[in-house]
Parts: sequence; structure tokens; C-alpha cells
Amino acid sequence: MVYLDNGATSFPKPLAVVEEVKAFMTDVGGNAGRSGHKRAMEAAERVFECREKTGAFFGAKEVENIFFGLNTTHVLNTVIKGILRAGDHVIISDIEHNSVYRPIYRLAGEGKISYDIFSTVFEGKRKSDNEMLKSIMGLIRENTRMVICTASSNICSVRLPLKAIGRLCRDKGIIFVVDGAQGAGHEVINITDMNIDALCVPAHKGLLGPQGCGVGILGESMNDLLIDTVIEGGNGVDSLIGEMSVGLPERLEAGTLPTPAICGLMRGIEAVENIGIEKIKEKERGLFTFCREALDTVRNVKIYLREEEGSILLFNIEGLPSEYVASELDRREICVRGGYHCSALGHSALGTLDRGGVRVSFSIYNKKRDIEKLWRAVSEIVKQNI
Amino acid sequence: MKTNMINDTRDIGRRYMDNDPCYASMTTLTNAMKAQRLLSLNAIPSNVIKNQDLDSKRGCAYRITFSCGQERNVRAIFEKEGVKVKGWNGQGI
Repeated sequence: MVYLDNGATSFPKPLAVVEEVKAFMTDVGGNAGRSGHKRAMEAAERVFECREKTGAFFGAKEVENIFFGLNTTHVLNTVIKGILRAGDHVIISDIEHNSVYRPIYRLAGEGKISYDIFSTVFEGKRKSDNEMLKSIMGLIRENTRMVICTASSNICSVRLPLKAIGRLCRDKGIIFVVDGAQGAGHEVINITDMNIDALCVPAHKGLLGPQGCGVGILGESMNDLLIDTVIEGGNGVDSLIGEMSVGLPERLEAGTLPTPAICGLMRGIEAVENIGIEKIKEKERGLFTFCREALDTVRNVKIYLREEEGSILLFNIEGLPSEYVASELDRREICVRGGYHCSALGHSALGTLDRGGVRVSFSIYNKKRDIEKLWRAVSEIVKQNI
Repeated sequence: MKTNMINDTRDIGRRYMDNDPCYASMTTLTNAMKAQRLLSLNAIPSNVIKNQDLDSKRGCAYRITFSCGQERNVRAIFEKEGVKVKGWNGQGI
């Protein structure tokens, strides 16, 4: 079987990740931050190590500013709803995943906030960094409190100029939140260098860790901001008090942590560090160009934003629904994702709202022969149907 | 050395042997573990344990224990690094 759905979750995982999860479950097993016995404290030690490792990987200065959730969506909701207040204005990009769009849509629908969308794509091409910045600047109002954007789209390889947007936001006193779901592990993201106030990433995609864990990485600029809690419950601190404690990160971590996944994430980050982001980028871009050249030889195949080379390639076969193509590829033992990829905004920006697309998403573990198999399968599907 | 120890204990206001554990009650477990890392970098052994104070009004919490002979150094390190402490040796929590 050929796995080309790393945008959904990366596969395979490094063996060290699997072994670490297993080791935690067989040899440690305690609940960090609850009991005081050795197993619980050992679990806590592992969690702390992962905070340190994740913080260092993304350029965070304070280990307490690293908090864990269940996935990127959970962590994004924690940040977005925890920071925004009534009357705030928010700017988001036109290729955001629903994990950004839906919380904003809901808050706006309830009349709590207003929002505007800046475009990243125009007539099938990525806008330049300057054009995007101008769009953002044109939307800033007196009550603009937050800019949220993805580091990298989940339906194509468009990347946003995080450093430039971060600088703009810092100059204007606007909080800058980044959805790193597709970018983490594929691109260098440093919250200090890029003036990112909150970065939200999943363990299970580019960081090669298990599902079930998301990480929020807060910048130093957030040290004096008391983030409202979205979920309240036990966190092992000040149990006799009704309010959630003030101290980070436990304030944002109600409930038992996904400790096995956190342990696995540590090894995933180590694997990415050992390989090196630059090598990962080079490999994925190589696969992208190889895939593009291969699919270019198949009639009726359209590739979107073909110049933006990276870990994701989106295509359609004219006349065939994208979900049908994905299921035909699945019959041929090739895993991709068809449809809308939880990104209504993204498909609207790409002009694929009527049909979605077939997303091919690479990882460091894919090979050229995977692409060759995809190419043969796509050629066959076209031949049989058109 | 004994004279110095007596001076130290007089300064801090408690009489205790050099090897008795003293402790700082911390705001969170993460805060306690961060403090432990800092002390380790300064070659001061310490342990993070669950708070055992019966008079803690807020409930579950963690403390970091260290030799009382090191309390002055520990306080200085925490102050320098901005480590938040709820209280020392049962006071202030």
C-alpha cells in the first residue's frame, strides 16, 4: 500500500515513537500532576521533558508557555476563545482550515467579534508576500486584536510569510496566532524570530508523533495576558478552589493529559531534528516536482497552484468527482484524500468549491516509486472513465 | 562552619540541622520542575514532591525540597530567575 495522505496524519511513524508510547504504557503508566508516587512523578518528568523539547524546537523562551491539548483544533480553540473579547476584530486568511474558520465564524455569529479575510491566492496563483501584507494592512481597524493564519495550507503548498506578518502585528500591537498544523516539521517556525504570539501544532503530522496530542506554544508577549479557560476541570493544582488556577501551563490543561502521545511526540521531534528540516523540505519538494511532472503527462488532469512546491499537491481529473478518484485510488492501494479537506475557505480561494480536489501529501518517508504507482493508477482511472 | 550555620539559621529564623529538608511550595507542578532544573544547573540537589501540608487552604500542590543549608542560595536563584513561589517552609501558602 502507498500512503500519500500525510496531510491527514503522517505514516509510518519512526520506530522510536512507537517504542516510547509502548514503554510509557508498560513501564510508567502514571498520571502526571495527580498523585505523588513514583510512577506519577515519572510521568510528570516525561511531560516536562516534552515541554522543554517542543519549546526549544519552536524557539519558545519559557517552558511554562507550552501547553498540551488533544489536537491542533483543541489548542486553537483554547487560544482563540481564551484571548478574544467582545468587540474584537480579527483578520484571517482565505485558506484557513475549519479549525480556525469555525471558531471565528461562531464568535461572529454570536455577535461577539467581527472578522475580515485577506486573500493569499488570486486567479490560481499565490499572491506575493507584499501583496498579502498590503491586504492585511488594509483590513486593520482600531479594534483589530488578532491576526490568525496558517503557516502552510492543508490543500496546497502555499506558505504564508510568517516573519513579515509577525513583524507587522508586533508593530501594530496585534496578537499573531499561527495554525502550524501543516507547517510544523515541514518548515522552520521560530516563534521568537517570527514574532508569533501563539503557535498551535499537532503531534501527529510533520512532527511524526502519535494522534491525540496538540501543543500550544505561547510567546513571551503572552506572559502578562490571562487567557480565559475554555474547558475547566481538574488539573492537579489548588483542588479546593472553584476557579481554574492562574499559573501556566496547567491553567489550560484541564483533565488528564494524553501522556502516551506526549511521550511519542518527544521522539517524533527528535526524529525530525535528526533528519533536519532542510532535508525534509528538499525531499518533499523533490517528490512534488516529480509528481507534478508525472501527472502532467496524463490527459484531463489539472494541478492547482502548480508553482508552489512543497509537501502537498492538489489535482482533479476533469469530469470525475474528487471523492470518486480517491476511492478508485484506494481500490488500487493508494491512500489520498478527496473532497474538501475541512477547508471551505481554501477551496473557495482555489476555485474548487464545486468539487473539492484530490490531495496528495508527502512525508520524508515517501519514495519516487510511490509517485510512479500513483501516476500509473491515475492514468488507468482516466483511461477507464474518460 | 558551625558558627556559619548558626548565623544562617538565625538569618532565616529557624533552627535546623544542615541536612534537614527545607522546601518551597510552588504554583504548579511545571513550575516546580522548572525550578528543579534551575537548581540542578547550579549543582543543588532537590526533589519535587506532592505537598504534604495539612494547612494548605487551596488543596493539591507541589513543593520542591532541598537541604536547608542551601536555602539562601535557592532563594537567590529563584529571585534571579523569576521563579514564582507560593511560600517557604509552610509559610505563606
